[in-house]
Amino acid sequence: MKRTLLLSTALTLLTSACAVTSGTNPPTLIGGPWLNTASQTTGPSLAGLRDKVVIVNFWVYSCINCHNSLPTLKAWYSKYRDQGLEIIGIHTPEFESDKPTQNVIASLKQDGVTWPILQDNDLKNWRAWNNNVWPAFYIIDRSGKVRQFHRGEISSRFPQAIPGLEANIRSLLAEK
Amino acid sequence: MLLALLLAAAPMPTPQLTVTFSTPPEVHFNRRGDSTLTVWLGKTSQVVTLNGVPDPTDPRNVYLRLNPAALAFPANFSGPVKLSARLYLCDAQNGICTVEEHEKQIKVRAGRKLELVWKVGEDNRLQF
Repeated sequence: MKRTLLLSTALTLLTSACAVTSGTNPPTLIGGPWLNTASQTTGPSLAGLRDKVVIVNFWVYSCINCHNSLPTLKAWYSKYRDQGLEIIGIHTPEFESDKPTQNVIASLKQDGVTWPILQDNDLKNWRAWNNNVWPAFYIIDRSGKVRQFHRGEISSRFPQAIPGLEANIRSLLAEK
Repeated sequence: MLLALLLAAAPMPTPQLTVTFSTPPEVHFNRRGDSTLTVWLGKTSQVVTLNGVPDPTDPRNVYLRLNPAALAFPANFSGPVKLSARLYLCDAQNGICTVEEHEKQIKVRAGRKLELVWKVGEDNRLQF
């Protein structure tokens, strides 16, 4: 059996090495449309958000783990936005039904998501960041460097990571 | 014509290659998307949609595991077969969903029965 295995390759949307690691500058956000912004054609750039602490959240509205994480993000947005926290959602479809913009807009309304959302139907940002899971959270400091990464739901069902993430956000907000 | 060589899920007479997907504990398959196995003989391919065992707590959305895919070839067929799997996975332990694409190449020999246990879903457990 083993000798019949000539080749074993893991391709993926996935792969091993993370392009975006702690201490690095993340890729520029590309594509669109943007939602929850003044115009669907333009949105905030990470360079333009220097001096803020930014959570970049790769998500898709139909993913239950992503959906369940929204209350945590909403709580942080409400609590820390005036101290300099910004959230950028990168909506990356898992299925064809996730792609229509009107479906995403409806979900944002239904879930009360108000931060800017970049719709990444072609997975350009997903690939550029070498992301491979939903949901994923990249926390970027005021100088524009990634300082923390978390993969997986953050909610009452999965509360373990929340205190550490929130402590780090507070610490980064305190850095001037 | 090569398609005629092919395979199928289950009911063929003498399966020569059985593919079983193995996942870590609590990594399941998301039924909202069809997990598929594409079997290539040269440039000809056939896609097999993978079925599984529904999760009794969420049968519409989750397969606890996939059924083995039994692939049959004509008795005199020998040669390389490329397998491409596209799998919709959810890790209930960590609250993660992902899509994995994997490839393997297998040498099929006439008259031999092979069983392939394909480990998937393990990258999800790697940490940043």
